[in-house]
Amino acid sequence: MLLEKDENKIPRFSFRPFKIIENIQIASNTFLLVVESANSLDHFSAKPFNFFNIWVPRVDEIPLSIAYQNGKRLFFLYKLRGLGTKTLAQQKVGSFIGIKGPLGRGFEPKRSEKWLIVAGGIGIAPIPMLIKRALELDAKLDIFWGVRVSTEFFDIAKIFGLPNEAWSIVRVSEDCMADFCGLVIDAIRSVNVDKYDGIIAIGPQEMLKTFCKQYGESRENTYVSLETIVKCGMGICGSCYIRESEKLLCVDGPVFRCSEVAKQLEGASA
Amino acid sequence: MALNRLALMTSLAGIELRHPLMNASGFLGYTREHVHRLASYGLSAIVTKTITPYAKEGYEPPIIVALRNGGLLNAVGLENPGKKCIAELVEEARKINVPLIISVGGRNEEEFVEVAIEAEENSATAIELNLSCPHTKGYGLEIGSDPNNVFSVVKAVASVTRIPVIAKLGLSDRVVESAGKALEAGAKGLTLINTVKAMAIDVHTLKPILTNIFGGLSGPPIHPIAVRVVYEVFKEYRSEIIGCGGVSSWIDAAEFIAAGAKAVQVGTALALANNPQDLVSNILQGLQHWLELHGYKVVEEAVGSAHRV
Repeated sequence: MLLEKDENKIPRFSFRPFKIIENIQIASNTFLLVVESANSLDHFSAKPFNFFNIWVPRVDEIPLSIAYQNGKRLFFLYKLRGLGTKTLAQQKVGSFIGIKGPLGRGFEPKRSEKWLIVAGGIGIAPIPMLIKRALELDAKLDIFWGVRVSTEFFDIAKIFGLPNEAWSIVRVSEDCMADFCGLVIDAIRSVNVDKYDGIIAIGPQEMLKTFCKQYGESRENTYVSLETIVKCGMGICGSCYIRESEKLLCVDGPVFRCSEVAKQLEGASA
Repeated sequence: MALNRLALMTSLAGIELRHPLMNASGFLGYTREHVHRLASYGLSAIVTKTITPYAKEGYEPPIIVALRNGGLLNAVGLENPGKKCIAELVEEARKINVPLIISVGGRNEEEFVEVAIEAEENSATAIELNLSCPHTKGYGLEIGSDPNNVFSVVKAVASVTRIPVIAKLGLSDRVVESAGKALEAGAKGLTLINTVKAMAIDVHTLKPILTNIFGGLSGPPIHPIAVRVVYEVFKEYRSEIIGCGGVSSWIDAAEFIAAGAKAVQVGTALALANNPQDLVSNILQGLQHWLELHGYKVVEEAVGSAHRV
């Protein structure tokens, strides 16, 4: 279900200082960033699918999904893409970065629901947080995670200390070195989606487009988490507007029903 | 309580407005979808983002950051798709029946005129000349801080367009003089004020926060400055003024009206509101009570009331 927007908006739109606790490569081209609030009084609780804008001073402000939260520690998973993420990867343990958030609306299953999760590539990033929440809600998650080459995989259970109950994961890779060979979207074809309370896909836009075409037209409870160019993250600059919709990704998303983003996804090259 | 629609009606530069509240330029406003979203807030008119002749890329993020004092600091860099987007914006505004004011930017008279003509040819309701953006080189305040430049830009635009021209001026030592020059050159109204040039430094990383280093400060911290400018300009010229700067409650809006404004723009508060619709309707209800409190039947009677002896 979509969660309410946060009441207290102003403080989270400023950059709060966080100290880097860990910033290490965990898989091909993929990094884990762990930061801790420099302010002992800072209190906030992120929800699954919230994101934070990470300020790399004088270089960029990068929107990253929250991967996990443990008290004052925030965990992020990111791939190297441009100058911003490359510079972020060079930031040393002990140095400071600024963090704006939590941004966007959260998304989580209702109590005792069963959800199918389809993640492509770094689309796995918000899933550890979702698993943590599913455990609290007594919900069940069946996860399909697809990557191009199997060196992109990493062990989310081990990294985040997730217990094995409440979720399962099927690994899919195009290099055929995993549980299933091919695209994640093909891997779920054999799954009976009717046994789930809802399905959500997170990943590259082409994948989401195919996903919505296959499952979104007949099912109301079909969601996608979009990854678009968020700039200010505050609903002001307008960069992340959803085509033919009043909605903005940064304040109303990143999770939308397929039916809400049909026009947006049409623009994707499939 | 239902709003007394008649009491809240106002007009500005010949534009009939069903109430005094519009958005300040810079908050969304350059796509069809943005216009739709802004209209859903219940504003009486929509002001677009500043449009330049050709598409303009903005600065790299961070472009906007909230400050601890309740203000916002931004240096977006006048990012916009160029004048070709005006037709779509006007079409959308017409569909939902809301007046559309095109904010126009340029580096010189010719560029202002070019965009203004596009606005007129597409039958936009009015033009607001951005003579006051404090953070984009070659634009805005770099032109608008000199009263003679204000005169020549307004004159150039007003002489080729029939739709009303509103000049948006920013804080400068000679803002009252600039206001006079804009009116003399043919501006039918003035928007006072724009954001105020400012900066913020992060004390942990010891770096300026905005990529552009300098930005425009908006929100509650600039409200008293804006009230002062509206008051002084109204006192001098009794002109038609849109008050802009730090309005977040009906009191701030009423203050502008008492100082001399006939309409009011809201930017930062609207952007930070959890529910912008509620913010707009709360301000309007408060304004209506305030009018009743003083026995005013319409907004017009309250305009400039702080100047009366």
